[in-house]
Formats: sequence, C-alpha cells, structure tokens
Amino acid sequence: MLVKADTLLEQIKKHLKENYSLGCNFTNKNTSQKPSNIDSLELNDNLTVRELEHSLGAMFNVEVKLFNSEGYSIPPEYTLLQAKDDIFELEDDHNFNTKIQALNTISSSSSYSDIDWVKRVFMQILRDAQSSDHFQQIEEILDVVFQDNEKFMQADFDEIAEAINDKKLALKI
Amino acid sequence: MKITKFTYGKPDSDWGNIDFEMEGVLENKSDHDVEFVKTSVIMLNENDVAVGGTEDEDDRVFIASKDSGDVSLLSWQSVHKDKFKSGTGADCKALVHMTTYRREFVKVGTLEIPEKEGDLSEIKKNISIGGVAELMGMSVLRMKDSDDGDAEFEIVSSVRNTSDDFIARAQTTLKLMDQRDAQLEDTYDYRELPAKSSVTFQPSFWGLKPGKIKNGSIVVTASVFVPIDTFTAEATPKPSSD
Repeated sequence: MLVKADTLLEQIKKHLKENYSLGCNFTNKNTSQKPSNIDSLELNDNLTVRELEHSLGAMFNVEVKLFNSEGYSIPPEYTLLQAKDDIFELEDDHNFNTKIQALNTISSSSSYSDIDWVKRVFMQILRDAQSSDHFQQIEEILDVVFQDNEKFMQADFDEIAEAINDKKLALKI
Repeated sequence: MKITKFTYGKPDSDWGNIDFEMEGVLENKSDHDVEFVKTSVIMLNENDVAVGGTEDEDDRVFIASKDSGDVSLLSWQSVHKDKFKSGTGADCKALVHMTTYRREFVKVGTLEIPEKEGDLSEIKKNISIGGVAELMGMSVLRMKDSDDGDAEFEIVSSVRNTSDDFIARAQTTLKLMDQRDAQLEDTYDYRELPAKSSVTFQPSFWGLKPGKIKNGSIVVTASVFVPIDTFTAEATPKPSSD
C-alpha cells in the first residue's frame, strides 16, 4: 500500500489489520503541523515499526502506535513481516532471566555502589534457581561482581556463596 | 531505580547530532507485579535548560513483586551538539521520571452477534475492573450490510475511572468467534483515563461476511493499568565506548 497525504487513517488501519494482523492507534499530537518532507510511504514487509511510526507521525501529525494480535506493543526494530508473527509470552525462566540480566547490567557498571541492592538481587535470584545451570550462571556472575566491584567485599562474597550452597544442598544439586 | 548506563556518542558528521543511550535497573519493592512502565526523560544543558526530551511506555515488561529487572530508559534520542557549550554530550544532565503500573484484568462476558439489521445485543451488567474502574456494559447494533456485502455493526462500550488514580491505559479486547468457537477476528482499543473520567470506545471489525458470523459471538475482556510507584533519578553521561 502506498500511503499519501490524502490517505485516510482508517484505510491504513484496515491495511495493517488485514495484511499483518496488526492493530494501530493514532493520537493527535496537539501541536501545529510542521511541513513534512515525507510525501509518501510504501507499507511493505521490510518497513520497520520504528520507520512506520516515525514517518506516519510526521505525515499526519499524530502519535502512531502499532500493537500485535494480543494488544501488546511491538519492538521498534521489527519489520512488518516480523511483527505479523509477534507474540509476547513470558518464558518459563522469565523471573530468573530478568534478574540475571539485571545483575549483568549492574556488574558492568563501574560506578555501581549499592552493594546492599546487589546482594538482595542475588538472594532474589536464589528464590528462582532450580537447576544446576541456574546455579552455574549465578556463581559466574558472583565472580564477576566480586572481581569488578571493589566495594563488594570478601564478606559479601562469602555471604552469597554460602546462601548458594545452602540452596543447592536443599535442592540436592 | 538506578541508572546503570548513560552514554553519549560523537556528533554525527551530517547533522551534528549526538546520540544518547540510557538503561537502568528497577527494584519492585511492592506487592504487585509490574506489567507496564511509563518513562519520561528531560535532557538539560550546562545551564539547566531543556535541550531535548522524550516520553516512552513499555507494556512488554514484567517484574514480579519483590524482584529486580532491567528497564530501557532512553534510545533513539539525539540532541544537536550546538545546544551544549562544549559541543559534546559531556555537559548534558538527564532528569528521569518513571511510573510503574500493575494490571487489572477482567473477563467481561460474551455477546451474541445480532442476526439482522436493527437487532441489538447487549451486556447489561456493569463490571468492576479491579475495583478502580467500571465497564458500563456493551452494546452491539447490527447495521445495514455494506455495499460490499459485509456485515456492519455499531459497537459501543464505556469505561469510567472510579478511583482517584490516573489509569495509564484502559483497554477493551473483543474477539469475534464463529459458531464452532473458532476465532475470526479481534480488535483492541485503549486510551488514558484520568481520575474521575470516562472513555467511550467504538471498536470495529472489517470484511465480515454474514454467512461466516452466523450464530457467532463476541468475547469481551477489559484491563486497566493502575499506578504502583513513582521513581526519579538524575544522571550525567559518560562517553560511549563505541
């Protein structure tokens, strides 16, 4: 579909729904329209969500938000073809992985100083740890945090390591 | 909320824009799971004057109660170098505001599809959504078929915010099922809903052939996102390693 300045927003909505199973929300920007240097936009499989939202926003002076067939927003880097099959589901290990990611982020931050929080996150992760793979990941990150963060002391390391061992024993891992 | 990364790049050679990136970690100390966040960032120069900013929302986040998780705070944000005295991002300061939301979800009910023009199908009860909002039933009026022979409906539902909280998103979801209970179509509508206000949705379906929807039904669900906590932070960037 080729979108031009005189294309109705309803037509765009209909096209995205019929061809990509995508919902589309348009909200007025409440600002005077700036002249747009975008005359037209081809809605094709390779167009990214970011490009679409940005270009249509500039052409029609609206905020554009695409959402998938479950009503969730779509990562902006997805193409329309990828967005068509997008499903947002939490993986089984979501809570564990979220905290591992958080600890990775924290440990890579040299300015990070809230050691109490780091320790709390380790304790939170241990609640979700169920497999030897989980414990291996936790132990690896513990080593990284201990090496990289001078405010994370030997006593902090020992406290977490002991908690890990206790949980492993409890689970017979 | 802690900002764990805030970096700036070199001005690009074409336009002189400096790209900024920011990430953070959120500790959800509340008794509710976080399922939605709204973030706003104000970029200031060395005189504490606004030179950029952005607002964003994320409905694909899930941080369980008492857990911590990453949050994306700034991406795709650039500021022209001439807005800073030094011509680099080193003079920038960012003010970050974030609100976390929990989701209240309710199965509203099922409507029969009106069979012929002028028939009205209704959900007659008012449904509480998490004790903070109320869906005031729903009506579906069968209209005259379109010139293309498609079935046409006028569907209306209203949600009112009965609380003193700002509801970041009030959403209704309609799934159109055929007589064998297979899903034919779906449609979603959402809007912000300030305290003590209401919103009326008029969702629509396209391209429905009358034969296909005979004896079909519409399954309705609704959800609202209610605030849990607010966070603020301030940060100054470091040069990007890229």
